[in-house]
Amino acid sequence: MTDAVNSLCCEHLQVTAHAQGDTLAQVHASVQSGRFTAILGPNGAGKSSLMSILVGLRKPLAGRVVFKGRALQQWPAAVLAQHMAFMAQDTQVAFSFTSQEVVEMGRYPHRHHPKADEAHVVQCAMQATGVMHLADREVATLSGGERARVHLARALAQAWHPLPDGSARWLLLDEPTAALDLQHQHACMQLLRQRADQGFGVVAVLHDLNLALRYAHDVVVVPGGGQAVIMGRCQDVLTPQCIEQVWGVRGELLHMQDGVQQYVFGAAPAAAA
Amino acid sequence: MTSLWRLPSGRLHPQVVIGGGVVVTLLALILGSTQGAYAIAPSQLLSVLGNGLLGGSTSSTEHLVFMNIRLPRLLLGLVAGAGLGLAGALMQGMFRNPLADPGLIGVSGGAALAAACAIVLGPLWFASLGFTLGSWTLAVSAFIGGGAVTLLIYGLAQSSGGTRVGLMLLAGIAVNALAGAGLGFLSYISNDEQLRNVQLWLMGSLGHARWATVWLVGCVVALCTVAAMALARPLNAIALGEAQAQLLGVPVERTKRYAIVVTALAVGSVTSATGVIGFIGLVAPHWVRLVAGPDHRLVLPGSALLGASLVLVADAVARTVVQPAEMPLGVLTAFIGVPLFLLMLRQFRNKL
Repeated sequence: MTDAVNSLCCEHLQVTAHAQGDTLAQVHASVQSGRFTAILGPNGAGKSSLMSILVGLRKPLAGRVVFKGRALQQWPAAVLAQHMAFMAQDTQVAFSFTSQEVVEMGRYPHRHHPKADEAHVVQCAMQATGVMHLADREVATLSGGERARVHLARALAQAWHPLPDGSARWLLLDEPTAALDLQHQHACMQLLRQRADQGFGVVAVLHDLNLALRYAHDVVVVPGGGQAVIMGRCQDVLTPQCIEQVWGVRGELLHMQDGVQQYVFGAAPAAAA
Repeated sequence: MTSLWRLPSGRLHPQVVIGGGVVVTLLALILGSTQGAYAIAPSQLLSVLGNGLLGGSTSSTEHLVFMNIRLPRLLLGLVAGAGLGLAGALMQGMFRNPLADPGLIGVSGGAALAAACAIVLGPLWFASLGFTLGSWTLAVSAFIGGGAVTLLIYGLAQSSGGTRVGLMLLAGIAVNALAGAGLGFLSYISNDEQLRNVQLWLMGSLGHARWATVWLVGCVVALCTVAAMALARPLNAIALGEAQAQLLGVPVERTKRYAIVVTALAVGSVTSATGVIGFIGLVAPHWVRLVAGPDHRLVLPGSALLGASLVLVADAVARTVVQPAEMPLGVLTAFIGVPLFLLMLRQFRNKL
């Protein structure tokens, strides 16, 4: 059932916080393109560590990541950047680069084969995240949320055109919504969901379970403490029992009028406090 | 704010930046041509140049002074300033830090230590060697010393994840302090004449310019400029952080290594020909970024042009201010560079 060419597979990964140290999580799972997969879990459970292993910034203690049927370590960085775009949690830009210049940097992997519409790509990417009016502002002077949207536009610009080999483009994002206001959180999630529906592989670390329930197809819950991750469809995995076990918070499901299930959370039970 | 000169962001157009840089450099060259112990009027300059280019053989004093003394000196100043400005822009880009200076990676410190060794210990050591480098001894020692110390600092900054620039910064400060101590020791054991030579070398001068040096340093700096331009876009991406640049497909490790090699070659060759000239590498990139923005495709050539202009102007002043003697160039680049830098800090204190 799993199609190797369109997947990002974790084979017996041991996730640690540093090069050495205790195992935070074990991951043996496969993420498919055309799906929006949310990575959820408590603070310090290893979500960001897992993310840096998924994009090849760090080596796992054990196991390996296989991207499109080929071990991640074997991908030349220049080729990988054409297939996969990454948005880090908080990117500090040195010097006084403007928003537009930062988004243009997303086109770096394609500089040897520039398309006729390079400038247009940058504009469209900025429009998609609503930062067109910030084009000439220096990134360092923007608010955290505005900066996050500029970096999201950069990631979109990086994965703008379909790949010549026809395989899926991938977007990996570490807490893209952390700095965003309510409206932009939903706009960002909608955008990612659209990309997934267009065939992108989308993987994002999130903290908001309700955003995951509304927009993501699948979820990877990283419980921490060296346990194996739980993966599956959002509605199947994010049960009140699971939430109480992993986060120690009691949640009650509400059925919204648009048919989506959302949680309201109560106080933590005494045992977990 | 959009106009013929400025972009919407308030920066100057790239063409204006490069064109302006070329014009300023040419003006500095003309200024430098006329000033000096033997003043040459601008009108005479044209005839001397014309004669020189057409191969006419006049033996007028102007011609002799200009072709044999002043022109090589001007050209050495041009390439020295360009090399230092370029290296400063490279290092600030690599360290992602506007306070970085080419000296940080140890080239100038190593070159100074080796030069002092050659001056103070040379007479003892080279006497026992079977050959002599003659007048090149000092320059060759300085170049080798600069390269060796850069290599040492680069080696100290290696970790499992590649070259760590933070480590390199700290190792650079430490090793530079050590080189300073070595320099102090050598000064202590030197005799009066050696001490004076060491001090003069540390303050830099274009006075030893000859055509052979000009060609050698000129070729190295020209090659370094070409190589540096290939690093411009990778350095732009590195402004996003090394991890993010890596994921944009930038060969981060290779870019850092090339930046260090180019800096060591440029600063090493310039310093071995002129002695230590400070502040150009620190100041020039700042000014270029303020008017042109931080894109390295502009900052690198712009810093080379501005560095060249600054050195040429400083040298013109050095030659005239205490005639018939000469002020050391390094003193003047500090006298000119530091107030300019402070002025900029005040002007843009809210922006930096």
